[in-house]
Formats: sequence, structure tokens, C-alpha cells
Amino acid sequence: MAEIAALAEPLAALASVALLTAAGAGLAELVPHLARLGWPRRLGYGYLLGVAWIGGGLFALSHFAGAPLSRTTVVLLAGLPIAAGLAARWRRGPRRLPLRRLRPRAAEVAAIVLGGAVTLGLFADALTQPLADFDGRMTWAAQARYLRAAGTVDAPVLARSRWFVTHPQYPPLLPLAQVAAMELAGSGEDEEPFRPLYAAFFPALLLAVYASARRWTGRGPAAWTAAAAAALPFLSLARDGGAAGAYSDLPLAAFYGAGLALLLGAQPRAGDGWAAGALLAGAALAKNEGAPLALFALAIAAAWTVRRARRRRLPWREIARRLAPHALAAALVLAALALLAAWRAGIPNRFDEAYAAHFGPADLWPAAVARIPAIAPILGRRMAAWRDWALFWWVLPVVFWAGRRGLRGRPASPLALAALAPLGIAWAAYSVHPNLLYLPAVTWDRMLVQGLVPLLLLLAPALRACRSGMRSRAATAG
Amino acid sequence: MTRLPPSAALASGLFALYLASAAFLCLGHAAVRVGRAWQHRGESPAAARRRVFGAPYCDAIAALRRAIPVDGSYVLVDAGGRAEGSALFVRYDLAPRRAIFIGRWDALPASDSLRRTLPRGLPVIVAENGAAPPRALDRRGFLDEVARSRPARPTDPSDG
Repeated sequence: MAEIAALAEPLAALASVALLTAAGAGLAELVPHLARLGWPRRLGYGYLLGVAWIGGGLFALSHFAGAPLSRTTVVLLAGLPIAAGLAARWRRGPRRLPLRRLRPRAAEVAAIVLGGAVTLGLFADALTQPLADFDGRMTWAAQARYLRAAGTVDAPVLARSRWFVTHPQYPPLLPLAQVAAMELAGSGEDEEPFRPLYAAFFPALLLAVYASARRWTGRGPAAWTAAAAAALPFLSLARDGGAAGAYSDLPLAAFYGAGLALLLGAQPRAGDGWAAGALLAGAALAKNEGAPLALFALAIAAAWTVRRARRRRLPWREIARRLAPHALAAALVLAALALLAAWRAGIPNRFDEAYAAHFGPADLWPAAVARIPAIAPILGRRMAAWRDWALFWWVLPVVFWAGRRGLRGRPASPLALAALAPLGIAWAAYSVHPNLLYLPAVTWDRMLVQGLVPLLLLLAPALRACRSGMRSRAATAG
Repeated sequence: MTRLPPSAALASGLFALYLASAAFLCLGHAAVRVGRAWQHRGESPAAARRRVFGAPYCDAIAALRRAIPVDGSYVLVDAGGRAEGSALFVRYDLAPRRAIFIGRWDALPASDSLRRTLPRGLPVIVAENGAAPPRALDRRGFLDEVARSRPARPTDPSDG
């Protein structure tokens, strides 16, 4: 009997992951391109959309309508897209996939085994170990406890500067997802049913990488790319920034990369625009860096679409039509940013670095260059750390060089810019931070994670080019 | 015999090497995690916390949670190492109870000045080094301990 009772908490924690995924899967059913995907890829997008929907929905309803952060609100919020998704599916009727699409290839088996085993380890850890990271306890999980106790996103403890709250203006999407999990589980003070939410971002990111890469390169290279991501030690092993903790960097990476990839598709439709907007809004509400990254993603995706259309000499009317999904995505991101600004207006900032106040040209110059000799060795050491990255950063340039042919004709430039954007933000922060050596040492890995999805989407075509190069040379020689 | 383009062969070989070595590392850790979870299956969250953070720390947190109501407040002092985050972790474990942070122990103002600014009627919780349990003091006990812990300073006229 005691063993059955002990299972209640893990089951409730897993149920919250399932509910968020179901809500997002319902939303994915409303997006034709996502609804056509096989169920594993749909679940990947579903989880990300579910967190964005539930967290963002709780945020908006609580702040603007005074809705309580309660189990009822969470269930109602989740029920809406689930019902809509079921209705859309029922209207479409059953869908049969061709048998060849169901049969996994060797690369896919490798990715499934590797990603599945690492995910299993993460969930095992999340369900039996208490939260023991730094920022998770300092900021994200603490904020969740304050919000849950107050029953509102406008918790009085945030609004009065006498109370000790670190980073009180940090975007609250992930704390609100934590509140949803805690409310669903009815958890007590020692229970942390939100831990599997963070673990679930790991397979969601892998599936989003696989789904996006597969559109551009086919199944084999996409699967090898997903396997490469699954094997990245930092993502699964690092408590401070990986899926084993409660940091917001991995969620931000997944939202940012998956949203951008939807907009960079061959011809995004309105549904893609909504989904991308929801994901990028999730990025904007996940972390401070999320807002500039989401806006940057919108800008480079729009620029890419215009550039591609101009090359084909399409008329401006057609270009405007092609930009409509981008406009929908931008509308959602701007709505999220407006919500964030409205919420922040009532919260005095304190116990925070307030980087934005130091990002003037006079602050950045000449520090951005003068600090390179001191900072670069630290960054190099972090990237060469075996336990965090293994050989990844050594191998990547070689694969890009050998497979550079594969990057032609694909959205390589926006993806490269998107991968570099978080590093640019990091560099700006390193240029103004008073502790020259501390910040890069503890944040560089996480900034690399933030730009990982676009980077991996560049890896896939490079891998394909390497393989096809080998094949064509082998065929010639034969 | 087929001759492969050197760059593609090198890249593919290195990629395979990365994948094999990193997968070995991650799968090893995944196995350890699953094994550990199996070993501690059925354990309550409280017991898991005692296992990870130590019984003295968890007992002290439990006592503080009983002493301070969930909607109550307390004064927090950080006596831990600079980058240890002791006060932050105590605050997390006591949340949603509200904390008033008065700083690091070694940077507290002189006892007279502290006496004037320290909020009344709230327990003072001192977050200690590492896994050492936090201590709860009443106002008088805290001020006495601060006075004892530092040499007497000349009176600052600006203190009034």
C-alpha cells in the first residue's frame, strides 16, 4: 500500500507532462503541416506548443482577467485545444501512413535508442532526485512557489521591493508551467513534480530538430543529427543548464529553434505562422534573452523569404502574401512582449544585473574587443570540456568544411545567424559585466545551448553532403 | 577498392568518433540514473531530500517551516561562502515565506546601526556554509552574536 502511495507523486508529475503534451498536440492538429507529421514529431512540437499555451495562457488570464492559478484553470486551458484538436482530427477522418514511412532506418533506430535511453535516464533522475541546481532554486522554482502561493502572476512578493526576490522581472513562462504541474499534482512543500517538465524538453528538442532537418535533408541525415544532439553530454548531464535541472536555457533553445525552423520552411502557411508565433512567444516569455532572439528570428526569417522571392523575381504582391505567416507570428510575439511589459510595470527590479541598462555604445566599446584576450581562453576551455561537449566542437568545423556543398540553396545564412545570435548577446553581456572572468565561465555553455537548434539544422545538410560525396566518389571509382 | 574523398572520409570518421564517445558517456550516465532511481523507488520526496541534502539541513528546514507560517516572513543573512548560494537555497526551501535579505554576515553594518534597521518581530535566519543547517535566531540573540563576532568600532556620528 505504501509503495502504491509512493507512486502517486511520480505519476502525477508524468500526468502533467502528458496533459501539456496533449494540449499542444491538440494545437498541432489545427496546423495542417504539423498535423500531417508522424506522431513522434507531432508530440515534439506538441510538448513545446503545450508549454507555450498553458504557461502563456495562465500568464495572460491571470494578469489581465484575474483568473486564479489553480488546477481548474489549468485543466480548462488544456481542455480547449485538446477538444479543438480532437474535433479537427474527427473532421479529417483517419489517416493511413504508407508502410515505408513507418519502417525506421538504421540511423533512425540509432537515434531512437540513444535519445530514448538518455530520456529514460533524465526522467528517472527527475522523478527520484530533488532539485539541486543553482539558478533553478535561486530564480525559476522559487518564483513558481511565490506565484502558486499567491494564486496570481501578480504576486505581492514581487511587487514590493522590501522582499528578497532575485530577478523578479524574469519572464515567468517556465515558473507558470511549474505552477501548472504543482497544481495538477496538488504537491506539498517537499514535492517537485515540475522536474519532469524540464526533462521532457530534451526529447522535445530532439524531435523538433529531427522534424525540421528531415524537411530539408531527408530521414537519414536528420536522424544522425538528432543522434548527435542526443549524445551531447551537456544537454542531458549538466544540472546547471541542461535538462537535468530547472534552468530555462534548454526550453528557450527549443522554442527559438523550432519556431524559426517553421518560418524557414519551403512555403510556410498561415498555420505555420501561428505555430511559429506561439513557439517564438514561448521563447520571449522563457528568458530575458528570449525577446531579442524571437525578434531576431522573425527578422531573419522575413529577410530570407523576401530574398528568395526577389531572386525568383516574384511581384511584391506575391512577396507580401508569402510574408503573411511571418506577420501572424510577429503579432503573437508582440502580444507576448506587451503582456510581459504590462506585468513588469508593477514589479520593481532588484537583485538583478540589469544588463539592458548597460548596453550603450560607450559601455560596449572598447570593452567588447579589449576583453577578448581575457575571455577567449575561458570560452575555449568550456567548449573543450570533455564531460560537457565531448568532441562536438572539434568535429563540427570539419563536418561543415567537408559538407559545405550541402549548405548551398538552403537557409544556411539565416540559420548561421540564428546560431550566432545568442553568442552575440553573451558577448555583449561579457563586455559590460563587472566580473570579467566569472560570467563567461558559468554562462557560455548555456549560450551555446540557446543557439544549438539552428546549428544542428546546419549540421544535417553538411552530413548529407559528406555521405553523398562519399557515395558519388565510390560510384565513380567502382 | 574505392577511394573516398579525404575531407568526407575525415569528417564522417570524426563524426562517428564523436557519436560513439559521447553516446558512451551519456548512456553510462543514463544507466547510472536508472539504477539509482530503481534503488530509491518508493522513496518519499522528504526522504529523497534527506538523502541528498543531509538530515541536519532538512530537519532545520522542516523546523523553520513549522515555526514560520506559509504566509509569514523572516530576515535572512548569508553566512555561507561567496559563490555558494546558501541564502538562496534556504530561501527556496522556505518559499513562499517572504524573506528580507540584510546581506552577508561579514558585511553587516555595525551592531548599533543594525539595531535601528533590523525589522522587529521577525525571526532571523542565518544561512550557513555548504550543507550546514540554517540557524534561527531571535532579534536579541542575533544582535548579540553580531556584536560578539566583530571588534568594537568607534561610534559613527552619522548614526545619530
